[in-house]
Amino acid sequence: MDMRNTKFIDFKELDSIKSRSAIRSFFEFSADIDAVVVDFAKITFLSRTAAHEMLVLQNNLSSQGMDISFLNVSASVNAMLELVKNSLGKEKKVGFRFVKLLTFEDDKKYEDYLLQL
Amino acid sequence: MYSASFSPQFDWNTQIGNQLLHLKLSLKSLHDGLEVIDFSKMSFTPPLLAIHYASMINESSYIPKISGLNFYLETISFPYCISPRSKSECELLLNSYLDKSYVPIIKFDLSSLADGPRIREMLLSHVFATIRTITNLPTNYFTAISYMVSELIDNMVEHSGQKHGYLAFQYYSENGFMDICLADRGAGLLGSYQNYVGERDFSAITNHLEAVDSAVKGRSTKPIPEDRGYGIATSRRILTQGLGGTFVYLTGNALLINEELSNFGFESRGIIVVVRIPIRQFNKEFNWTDFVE
Repeated sequence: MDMRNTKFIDFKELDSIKSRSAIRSFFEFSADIDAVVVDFAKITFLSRTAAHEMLVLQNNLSSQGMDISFLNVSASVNAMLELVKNSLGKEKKVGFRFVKLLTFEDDKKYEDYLLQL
Repeated sequence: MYSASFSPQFDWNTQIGNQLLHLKLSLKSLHDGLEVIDFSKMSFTPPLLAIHYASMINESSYIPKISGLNFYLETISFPYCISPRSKSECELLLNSYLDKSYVPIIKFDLSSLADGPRIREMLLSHVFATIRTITNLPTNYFTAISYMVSELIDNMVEHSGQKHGYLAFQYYSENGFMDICLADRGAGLLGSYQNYVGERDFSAITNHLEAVDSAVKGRSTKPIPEDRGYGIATSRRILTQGLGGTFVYLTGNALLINEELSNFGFESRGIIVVVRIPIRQFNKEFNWTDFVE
């Protein structure tokens, strides 16, 4: 590996990454980079969306011939990456997504419903 | 004819239903022509109402004169919130709340560009850490709550079209629960579907209730839809089935309370979310991964 063309990403002072855009912001670099090393040593929490973005980027960069590797991945961060990997391409579960539409005869009945909370 | 002044009233009441009714009534009175909002009759301002009023005031095209702020409202930086942009600023502003049951209202950047994401991550990390200290959350609960709130905030970043989102928090130690509230005054779910430009057809989504139903079912406007659209459904499941909490999501006139969707009667711009988490007793066996797809 030619170290001059390797981009090291350690997420600066962050200890958690909670959004896609945060992941993307660290992956803006020039086209002459041929390898990326992502060091998760400081990261204690990676959200699902951030993990998904990370894996999408990994896939895209790999398909462009770029070598990308992850270092110092904690158990919790690894669990999130694995969760997202295992859910890719799978159908969403109907049971998770139930919505019951309620209608009320009048405002008083709606108020009574809200006051039960 | 609209009145030029508005003086909301709310007394101590932790019931979400009461707070929602107050919010609903307030929507009748809040309009762009308001000159004065007097908060002197708000003897208690729970995070739902604090974030509702703060976000409305901050995002209004015409800022009314604000009066009647009591000590608590000033302590939570109502209505203009805090927006620290560095680690040292976060520490300076948030460390004084470690022994309190609330944090100041946080106004965070929703930008995806330049330093926006990094500053937002840093700020929210501090806020979450402060909440964890205040509530003495064990790791399994902290991770679950971080998961939920992160997903909801990422939806705001991706869809609201606004510059700022808002976060409010209150810990009710004697009642044994905490409320985390989020808000933006952006496009809302319906606007997100209506503003979508792309290959998918969302023309069947014509009102706020249909928009909420679609979002819960995972119909995403984001690219690669089959791998997106988990945020609301999973957050709701972790909260209601995993933690025994209450999930409230208001956008437009659509109000989702756990699995029940209803017409709120008045339209609230953008989205407001309440995540109520019981934390009287912590279950050591609780594992958030049991409640996600």
